[in-house]
Amino acid sequence: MMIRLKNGHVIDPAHGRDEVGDVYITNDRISAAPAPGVEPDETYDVSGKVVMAGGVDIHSHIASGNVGIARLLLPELCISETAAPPDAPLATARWSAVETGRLYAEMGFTTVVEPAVAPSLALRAHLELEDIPIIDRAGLVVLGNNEFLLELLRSGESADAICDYVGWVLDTSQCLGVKVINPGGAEAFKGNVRHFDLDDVVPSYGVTSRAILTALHRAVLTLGVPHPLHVHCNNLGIPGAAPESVLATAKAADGRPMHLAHVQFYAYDWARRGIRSAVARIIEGLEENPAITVDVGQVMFGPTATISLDVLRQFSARDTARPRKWVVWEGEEGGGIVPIDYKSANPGNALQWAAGLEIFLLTADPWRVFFTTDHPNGAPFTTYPKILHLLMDANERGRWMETLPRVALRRTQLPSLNREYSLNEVAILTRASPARLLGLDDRGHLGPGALADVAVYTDQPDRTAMFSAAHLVFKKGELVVRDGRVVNWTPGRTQTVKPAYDRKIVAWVGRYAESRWGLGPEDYAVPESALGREGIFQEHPCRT
Amino acid sequence: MAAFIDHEPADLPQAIARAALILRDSRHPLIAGMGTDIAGARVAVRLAARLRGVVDHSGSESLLKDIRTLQDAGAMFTTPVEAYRLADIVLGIGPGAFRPDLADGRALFPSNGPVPRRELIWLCPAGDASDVEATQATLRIGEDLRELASLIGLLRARAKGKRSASTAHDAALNTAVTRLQAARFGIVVFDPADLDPLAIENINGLVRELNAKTRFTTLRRPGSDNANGVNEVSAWLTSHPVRVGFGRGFPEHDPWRFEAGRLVESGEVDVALWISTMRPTFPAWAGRIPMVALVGPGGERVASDVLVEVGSPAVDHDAVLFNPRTGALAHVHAVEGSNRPTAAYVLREIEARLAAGGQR
Repeated sequence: MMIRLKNGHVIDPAHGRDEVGDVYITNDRISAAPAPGVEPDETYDVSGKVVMAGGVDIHSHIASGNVGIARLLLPELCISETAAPPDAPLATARWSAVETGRLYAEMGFTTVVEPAVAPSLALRAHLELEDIPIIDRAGLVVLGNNEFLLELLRSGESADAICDYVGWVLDTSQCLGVKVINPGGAEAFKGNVRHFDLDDVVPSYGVTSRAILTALHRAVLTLGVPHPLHVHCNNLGIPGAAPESVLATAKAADGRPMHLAHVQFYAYDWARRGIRSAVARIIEGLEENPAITVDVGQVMFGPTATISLDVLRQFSARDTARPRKWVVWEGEEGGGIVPIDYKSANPGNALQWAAGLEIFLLTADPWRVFFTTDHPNGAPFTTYPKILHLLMDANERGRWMETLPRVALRRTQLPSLNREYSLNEVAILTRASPARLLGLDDRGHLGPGALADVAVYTDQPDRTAMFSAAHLVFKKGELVVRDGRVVNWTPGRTQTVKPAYDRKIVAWVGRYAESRWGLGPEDYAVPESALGREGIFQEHPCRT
Repeated sequence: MAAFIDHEPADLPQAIARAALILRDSRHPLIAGMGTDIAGARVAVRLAARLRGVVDHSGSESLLKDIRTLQDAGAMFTTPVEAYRLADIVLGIGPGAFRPDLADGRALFPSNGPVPRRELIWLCPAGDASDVEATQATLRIGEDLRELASLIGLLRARAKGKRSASTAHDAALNTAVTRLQAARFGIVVFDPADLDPLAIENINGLVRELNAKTRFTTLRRPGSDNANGVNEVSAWLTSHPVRVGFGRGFPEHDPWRFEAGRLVESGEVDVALWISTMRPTFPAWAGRIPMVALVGPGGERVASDVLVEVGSPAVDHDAVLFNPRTGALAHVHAVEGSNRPTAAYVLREIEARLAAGGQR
């Protein structure tokens, strides 16, 4: 089966392509132009359309125990209103797994990473991911607060032992990378610590946050996991302390690759009766540490939920909950849900909105800044088209700023920034760069041999309309979306890495878990048979 | 393997075909019991959505009392393994707080391994807390279950330093408050079945307030028949807890409207698909409306139009179930293994026949 997408504006930054031309799909892959005389089986005339690889999202909380609790806490965000089509009876269930796959696909996204898979809840996360149709997905497994790792560090075990443990956790949890969230913070909160910096010590373990961070960083590098350690720094949201935490963490990376998540939430300093942007300091820190990448965590206005495994931060933010209810739960890992209503009339919220855009616009290299809202923490992922519009159109930003409190706009550089993202930069931001950062070499580009995940958009000045409803989307060569509506409910696959490690660690983990909790290593397993379908997992190579 | 149509033995494909016909011809079917593993629950919810029916779980009554308080005011909670590791004081509330019924037969706070010093306070106790090793004498307050809710309220008021009515338990309550406030990490244990939503909210409030100075959280006794696991599936597929209706083509949650017994009683549902794979039980309303039953092995075969004896999860077949010790879903290997069909298999076959036969 060969498909020709004819005469479109093809944008493929990974190959420096930005021209009117054709894209060919043969079965599930992108292919080169066929030999003369060979006719494609199907041709789509995409004149006047933009052709890009399918979108890739590196950080979106789409499936986890924490998301499940958030749904139960917030029925007001779960009100469905539209009857589902007969072939997909759950497709319109608001904030459900099937709706998530549908809405991402309709925007032309084909791969999404859930960035907070707790090891003990990995099976649950994968079951939910498996119920998300169409898109491929992956998880980042969370380490840094669990007892066994802290025990290894406390007893001064070798870097090799820590490496083996991280390798085993990645393997058994079927994840694509490692995330650390406020390293040690959740465990410290169990010891009634209320403020936790990079050089603070986790009570009863005698280990600093920095030591946990560094140990995991070294392990991820040694294992050759393509995605760098994904870090949620200490002190999220605390003016003054937060930017310092980001800068200290960036420096602790010591020139090696590390990814810092949703830095917008760290980009504030205190100002008179409020906050002001600290983006300039963060950008400076990025320039001093060229191996660091960041994603933004853009805030958009409206009600949403903050969902995080940063238990300490969520507890500290409890009084900001709107509506006034929140959850903090503690397990082997833990989490918290604090609902929020970002209001454009609130100077603090307006500043958050502006700081996110500042980060996008002040980062000179679009390959180093990643496009996220930290869904749903800054905003639901369905706001992506509006954010792209804001990045591509300075007049659109101006229209938004007219409605915002002037005190907030005085405390950000945003009003003076005239940069507009090009379509090519958007393709870097949402396709080429995230696929590369995740080590997913088979996607994010349109080179022959790449997975035929392709999005076709109608080029129009209203970028919100353009990116809300893709004209066509192909997943693995199959047409799944036409004119912004799903036409084919294919199942997706889950992306993994399988680093090499010494399996002696498994018996060690087993002895420990058995003595502490009566559990064994098998209690953490995610066998494919438990998910109910074969061929779910797609493995990507580690770097040697 | 056993399947029956109108009490007569039938082969499995026949039973499945008949079940599909009964469900297809229903105007508003009810899928109830829902005592099944995660695989079964995933298909059952999909099936209910396809049929525009209702899903309820036999254990949803007490689960929903707890979720109702969560939706109103939030909560703090933990898992038994964490409670075991952290608790230096345990406040049990109600007679069900320490019932030894965790799925693997182990106690909530087993006394093997390294044990931190723990104190125990118990409001309206029943029996002995045989599975809680307390290093100091247990403080027991109250006996009459009818005064449990007011004892919780009094404890909360006193912990917050508010004036409250004087009772026969004043001295004990004051001692309790002193001990709770001196805790390093306290755990409040209760079974939602023992309490009404207001009492649960008072427990949540007490815990929130104690956390202003020290650390405290709650531990809820899990529901039976994988209620917590099925509820997780319901939440990710519909975004609602169980008791979900799909009559309008999208999910809606209503603890009253979608309660199985009421729906049968009022005649709002005309067919039931009853699922009870862990135990071969039947609802009190069996026989009132046409019923397809998927039940675990053994037991009496109560009036059903179609009955399929399915495997019991983790006994007859490998299964994913809620693990009440860790609060996680875990994959469990079959203890015995058998050729009984799984509920998920039977439900998928029914689903496939409905899909092939077109929509109503």
